[in-house]
Amino acid sequence: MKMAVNSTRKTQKMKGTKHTSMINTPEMGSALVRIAHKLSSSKSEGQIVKLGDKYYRIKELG
Amino acid sequence: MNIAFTSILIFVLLAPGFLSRIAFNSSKLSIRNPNKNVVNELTWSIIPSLTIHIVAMTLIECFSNYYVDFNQLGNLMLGVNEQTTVKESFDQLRKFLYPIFFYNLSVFSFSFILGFGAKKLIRLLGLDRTLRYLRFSNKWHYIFTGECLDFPDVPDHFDEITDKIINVLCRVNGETVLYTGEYFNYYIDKDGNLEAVHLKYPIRRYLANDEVGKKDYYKIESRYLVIPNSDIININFRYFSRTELSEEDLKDVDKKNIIVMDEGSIN
Repeated sequence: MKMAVNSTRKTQKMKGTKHTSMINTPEMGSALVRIAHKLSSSKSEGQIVKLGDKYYRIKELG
Repeated sequence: MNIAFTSILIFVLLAPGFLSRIAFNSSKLSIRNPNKNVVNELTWSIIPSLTIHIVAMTLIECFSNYYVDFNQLGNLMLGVNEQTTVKESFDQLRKFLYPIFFYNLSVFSFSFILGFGAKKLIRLLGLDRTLRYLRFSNKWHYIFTGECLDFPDVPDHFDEITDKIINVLCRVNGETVLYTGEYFNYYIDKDGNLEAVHLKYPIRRYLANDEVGKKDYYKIESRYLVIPNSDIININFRYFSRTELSEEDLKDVDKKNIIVMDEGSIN
């Protein structure tokens, strides 16, 4: 079953901010929350995640 | 001379520093306790007030025919008892009422703008993140927003953050529950203590279930969840940088370790 991310995957850049923080769609935000515990905090290069039909490299900072 | 009048005069003289401090601390970045001691506040306003007054007096003397009569000011402040001196001082006050009023109005306005501008400039240049002495008093701001990544000796940068995920460990009805969600907001009380955490897209799981190998998360059917600090044991902050890739960008090793998120999948 395809994720709802497919239909509204557009992310918007926050107005008035210079950093790259995004406002997620509910589908994307919810998916990230649900997948966060699978992301290792000990990998510096990050991990590849497939959300819907899109691929992302997610890296933990700090 | 009435002591109340002297107090008012001292308050007016120290008001520029007081106003600039109010403007500087007027955002969520600063903890402002309304019950704070006014005397303490005024004491901290002495140096900024004197600096602003000296600059203002220098400008007035340079660009106009007016000047501050320190003899009269001293008479009013020190509370002389001679009736003729008091009368003379108040006559002067009456005579130059409008110039004195507009001088103070200008100085007060400038002080407020100065404090506000200083805060904006520090934030614009990110000086509060790099210099500890310019850091604002609300420490939670730097933690929740992820600006703490710009502190010296911390790897990565705040600008790289795209997502902030927060795990809040809570004690609810005697059970330990882990709530996870995207950062939305936080609330502090007047003393700067954390009051509540506001999460977006919350999910939860009971830690007791870990013992039986059941690590299921329960999706809460709500977009926002507020957790009061009284329930919180600790908070785990995760700052993520997310970059979109095309399928061609993926290496073989990436394809083997890919994490796939399907609808309905929580584990």
